[in-house]
Amino acid sequence: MIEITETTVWTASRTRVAVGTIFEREYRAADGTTRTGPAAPLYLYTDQGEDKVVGGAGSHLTIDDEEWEVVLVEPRPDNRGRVVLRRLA
Amino acid sequence: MADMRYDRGDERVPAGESTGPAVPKAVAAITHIQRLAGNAAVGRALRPDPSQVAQLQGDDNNFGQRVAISPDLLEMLSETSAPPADRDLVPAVSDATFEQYDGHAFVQGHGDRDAVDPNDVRQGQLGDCYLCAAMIAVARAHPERIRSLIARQSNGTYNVTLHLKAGVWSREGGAQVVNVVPTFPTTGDAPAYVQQGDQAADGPELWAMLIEKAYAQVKGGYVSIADGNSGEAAAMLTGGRSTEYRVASTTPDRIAAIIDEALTNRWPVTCNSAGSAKNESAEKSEDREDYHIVAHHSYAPRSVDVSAGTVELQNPWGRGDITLLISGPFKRYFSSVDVVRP
Repeated sequence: MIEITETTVWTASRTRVAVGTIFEREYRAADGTTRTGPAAPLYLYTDQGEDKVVGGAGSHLTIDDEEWEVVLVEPRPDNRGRVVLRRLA
Repeated sequence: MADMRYDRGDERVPAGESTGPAVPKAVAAITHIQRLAGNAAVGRALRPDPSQVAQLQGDDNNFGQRVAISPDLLEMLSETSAPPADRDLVPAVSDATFEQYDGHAFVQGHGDRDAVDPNDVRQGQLGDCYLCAAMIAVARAHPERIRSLIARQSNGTYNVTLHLKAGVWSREGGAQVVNVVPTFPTTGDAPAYVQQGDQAADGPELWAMLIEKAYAQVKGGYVSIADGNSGEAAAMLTGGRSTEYRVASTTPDRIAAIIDEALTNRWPVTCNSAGSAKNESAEKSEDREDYHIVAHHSYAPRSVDVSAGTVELQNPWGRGDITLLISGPFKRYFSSVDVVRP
């Protein structure tokens, strides 16, 4: 599990994952459904370029060729919320 | 008042005295770990990773080596009478371990005009964007000031000079020298917090990591430096005085002129976005995101085009720079501009 605070950056092996501003919005879950809830723009920076994924609980993303699940997106005062990611087997 | 050097722990020693104590204390602490690790009476309170214990036990001088210290070991250290300062600096990222980095304070990267370059700074998993933006701003305005802050000692530690004020509203204070051991919270293979700068053949550039750790030592831990004022941080690095301009009460033309004057005169300048309001509409949040603006975040201006009324802002993330119309999204989503004059 990896916890990333809003406005900060986690460095994976080849990708830097930055968490932008969390707010309640629509996002796409891994099962293809559209959900509404707290979600964060996750900016994925690599040497090859950058990508942006809007992640909320239940959505998936690929980091360094591995699949990760967004377990929790929790807004907090002063934009110090957090995003918790879990690597899938 | 004579300059004081903060050594590991809480004691102060005069800046001019020997730099000796830091390493012997670290050795003593790790020797203490070895003793605990080999003591069956420690029981379940201490369950160190066997590989870490082996690494510690096989390490004769404990300083020229890469040492991993698990949270369990750090917890045990907190009960000792002479723990290393690192035990107080852990938090924020729970699985981080302190690792030693054998590098250099400064490394001139390809294309850098100076060994100290604004691109050396990349924020990590700590909410100290204000400090990172300040380091970028000072590196752009006065790289020589950054160089003058850090001195490598004969024992492998670094003395970092910070211009600290006695209080937020105080004008009292002065330069303080903080002794920093080059061990940093690490997750995986990367620093947990501010990242390494350029890479030399024999090690990474450390200046931003050293300044961040020095400030964390002064404030009592990394968690204590999450959130702060970018102007005050830039003043801490230069000894200058910070002036804050409120965006809401300043015209766009004036904001452009302030930033332009600062960049022209090599005065460190930073810009701070406002936090998102508690009941902010999704439309407003989406609009801000469309401009790639992060709420409650600090940036360092790279340039300003006064005639076009735009400002180019460097994001301390190391990526995600933005160019904004000052009369538009900047005025809507930014709260302050901080300038540090000599």
